[in-house]
Amino acid sequence: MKTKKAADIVLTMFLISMVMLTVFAKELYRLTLPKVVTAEVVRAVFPCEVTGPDGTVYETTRTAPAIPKEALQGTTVYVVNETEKGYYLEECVLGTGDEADGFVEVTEGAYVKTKVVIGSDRNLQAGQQVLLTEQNEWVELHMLRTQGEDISEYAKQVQKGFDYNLYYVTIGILSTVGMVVACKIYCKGRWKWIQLPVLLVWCVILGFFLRGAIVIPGEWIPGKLIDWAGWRANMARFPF
Amino acid sequence: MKKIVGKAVLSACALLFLLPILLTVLHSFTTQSVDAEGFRLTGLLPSGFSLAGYYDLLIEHSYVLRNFWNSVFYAVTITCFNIVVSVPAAYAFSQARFKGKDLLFFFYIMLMMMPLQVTLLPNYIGLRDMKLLDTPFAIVLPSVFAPFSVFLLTQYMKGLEQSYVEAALLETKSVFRIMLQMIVPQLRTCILAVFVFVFAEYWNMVEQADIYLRKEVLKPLSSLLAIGEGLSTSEVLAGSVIFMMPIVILYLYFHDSLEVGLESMKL
Repeated sequence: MKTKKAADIVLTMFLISMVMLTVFAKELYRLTLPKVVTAEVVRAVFPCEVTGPDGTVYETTRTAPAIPKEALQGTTVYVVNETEKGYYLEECVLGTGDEADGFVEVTEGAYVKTKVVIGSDRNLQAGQQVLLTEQNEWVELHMLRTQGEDISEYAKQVQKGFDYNLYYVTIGILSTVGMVVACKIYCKGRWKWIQLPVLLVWCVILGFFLRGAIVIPGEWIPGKLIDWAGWRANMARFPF
Repeated sequence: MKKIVGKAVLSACALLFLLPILLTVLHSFTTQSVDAEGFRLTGLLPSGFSLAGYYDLLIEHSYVLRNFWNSVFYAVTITCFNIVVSVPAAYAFSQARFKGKDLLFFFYIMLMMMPLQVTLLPNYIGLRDMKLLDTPFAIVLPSVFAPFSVFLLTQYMKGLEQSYVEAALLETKSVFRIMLQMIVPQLRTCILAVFVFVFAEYWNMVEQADIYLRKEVLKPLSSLLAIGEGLSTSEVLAGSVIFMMPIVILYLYFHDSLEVGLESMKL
């Protein structure tokens, strides 16, 4: 009996620890970070006028460090600094010059190859950790925004998804605690053995609930659990 | 005197069997006593104490948790469905009367005796044709119908009093009802023993996962630890300790049932 009691405690602690570690795993935390699309400061071509020795004005071009104009918010931009712990934002005030072909000349404050934010899924703050994304949908979204399209509905959906994270995590924790307490109260006597399978099944369900709800970096989710179409096609041709 | 010597020899043997587990647990709490290149212990006893292995595994490389839950999913699903399938099969083999029963049971045992490597290729071809490779079904489906538990349950059921079943047949003709209401309650200890066996077997599986699954995200923890790719030696040791936990807990829970079950199955 003592062994079972010890097993009870060890199992409960073990499962709760594993669920908590999973819920608060780094990979999952990364999901809560803002996703940003970045562009590097590049040398862009700007038209300019040069006055010759005889006073004639020639139209020519020059190159200068420049950033996409979407990166600018007034005269400030968010520069992305890479550290060992990840990417962090730094707010920089830039000196700006001419504008051409969607690029704004940078006269001071940033150098060529500096990464600046040109789009994000939410409001940003200096010092914030972010995730860089190359995802096409983000780039497309950014392009739509720069073309003057209204993307507020999409942005709302994305924001809603992120708001749900906390909701799901809270539900996960509370329901696990509730489940453990319920098991302790109701699965007594001859039904005590049922605690283990119930808790195990609960953890599996919770794991999948969290996987489906928040958790889930793309690579965690199998694209398809089963290729039904292919399976049906094969069955139709049975025997193979 | 003879008893003392016998006990000493048995204790020494037990310690010898326990030594790898003890060393794994001890060395998982240190980072200095393992040669990272050769994966060899530099000394029998660990030097110093560190939780770095656990920290790196559970916090820094937390993708391992995903594989842990995969293991839980595979082992629990396979075990539950395996028992659901095995009980009626064993009931049929032990109680039903039909032509070719013994021959069928003989084939069942033959199948059980075959090494895993023999059945891997036919299973692989079948799963490939059904487009189930690289899905959880590739692991779960073939394992659900593994014959081992059918054999164990059949052996146990053969020991049940035939007169009980005959008496029950006077009350009802529903075989399903007889099985559920009369046979299964008597099988509780045996089912628990089978649960532990099957769970342990599929908790420890490596080959099936390596062959049927290519995506790392679908693999169980056993497969990840066996390869150890991307993990340091101290992380693998820490992972091994975590990997052992469910089996140890399961044994603590069911050791009574396991002993009684094995005894009653005459194994």
